[in-house]
Amino acid sequence: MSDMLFAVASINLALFIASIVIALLIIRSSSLLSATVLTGFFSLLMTLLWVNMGAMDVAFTEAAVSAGISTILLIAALSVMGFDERPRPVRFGTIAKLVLFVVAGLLLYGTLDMPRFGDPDAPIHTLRAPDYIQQTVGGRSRHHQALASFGKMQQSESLSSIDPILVAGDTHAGDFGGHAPNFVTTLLAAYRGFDTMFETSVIFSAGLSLILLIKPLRRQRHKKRRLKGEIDLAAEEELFDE
Amino acid sequence: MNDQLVPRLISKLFIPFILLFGLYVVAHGEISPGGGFQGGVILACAYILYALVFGLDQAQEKISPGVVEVCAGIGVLMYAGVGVVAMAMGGKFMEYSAMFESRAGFGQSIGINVAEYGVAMTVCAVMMLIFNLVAGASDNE
Repeated sequence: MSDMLFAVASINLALFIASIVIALLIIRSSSLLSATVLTGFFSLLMTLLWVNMGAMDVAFTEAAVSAGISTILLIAALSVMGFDERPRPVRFGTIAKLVLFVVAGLLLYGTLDMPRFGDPDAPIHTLRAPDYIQQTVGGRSRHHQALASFGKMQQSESLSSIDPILVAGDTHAGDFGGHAPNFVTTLLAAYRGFDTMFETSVIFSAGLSLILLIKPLRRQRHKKRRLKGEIDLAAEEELFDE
Repeated sequence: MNDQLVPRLISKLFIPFILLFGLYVVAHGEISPGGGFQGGVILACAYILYALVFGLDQAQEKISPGVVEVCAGIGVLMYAGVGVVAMAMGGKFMEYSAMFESRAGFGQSIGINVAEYGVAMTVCAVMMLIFNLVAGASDNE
């Protein structure tokens, strides 16, 4: 078992070192395209780290959103803006360096107060979480039933006999009754439903503001070209039809 | 990239599977890792792959930008709407367990699912919309 732990720890260490190296490379690279691709690679390393921590939902989001679509969208944006950054000498003053080190020190000092990773006595594991895990994963979940019917989950029988509420399932008011076994989704969509709703509307308003910003820009550019006499009338009508 | 055989063939082969995987991630969000956000992004990726290989014009012919813009709004409405439905059935806003009397868990499951589908719709539509606008801006240069 200790060999296993050692292996996981060394993999984690390698991932951390690689991600720091890549972060430094991103800062130093003068080509915006390579910086963007490296950002995608950084996200991939973070995905592996989340997987090692057992945070599957976070890993999935990191892979799909950060490594996937945001890299594509950034490259699409770069194809409009041009790929090269104008070289500009960066100079750090003494005060800036001092502030940087003080803030970094304070942040590191702040982490000393946090519980160790995986500590079962940490507040997050003792307050609301057990309740939710029991409500969502325990007892009568469909997934659990499917597994039990295959005879693969011997200990599941004892799980449902611990708590009568779990067996009651559906009748318990406010309970999830085992209908949503993934308690990350349950927390996000039900317990923190307002938060997720406004998250969705933030995404919606991001799209809305892009429409408001880019569409008039296109019209403006078109108008300028028309004044120069580059576009004849037929082509113009075709463009405004969309 | 319109004239290259290999990307065309491979993307034609892969897009159905990407779409299926995206739908699977959305639909199984309450059972396994994933959910509306991730699934919506994967669905949008299929569209972007199509637009990259076959051209933005052809992609916009298949799914018009107007539909995408409307879908972004409908997703948010779905999420808020299921909360209002719970309110109409006598619960609080977003108290899904009140939707079906004496079947709290089932109501929670339905509410969570509808909310997730709303999130997937908005995220997918907004990602497609961003790509449409940004790629369209570079076409006009």
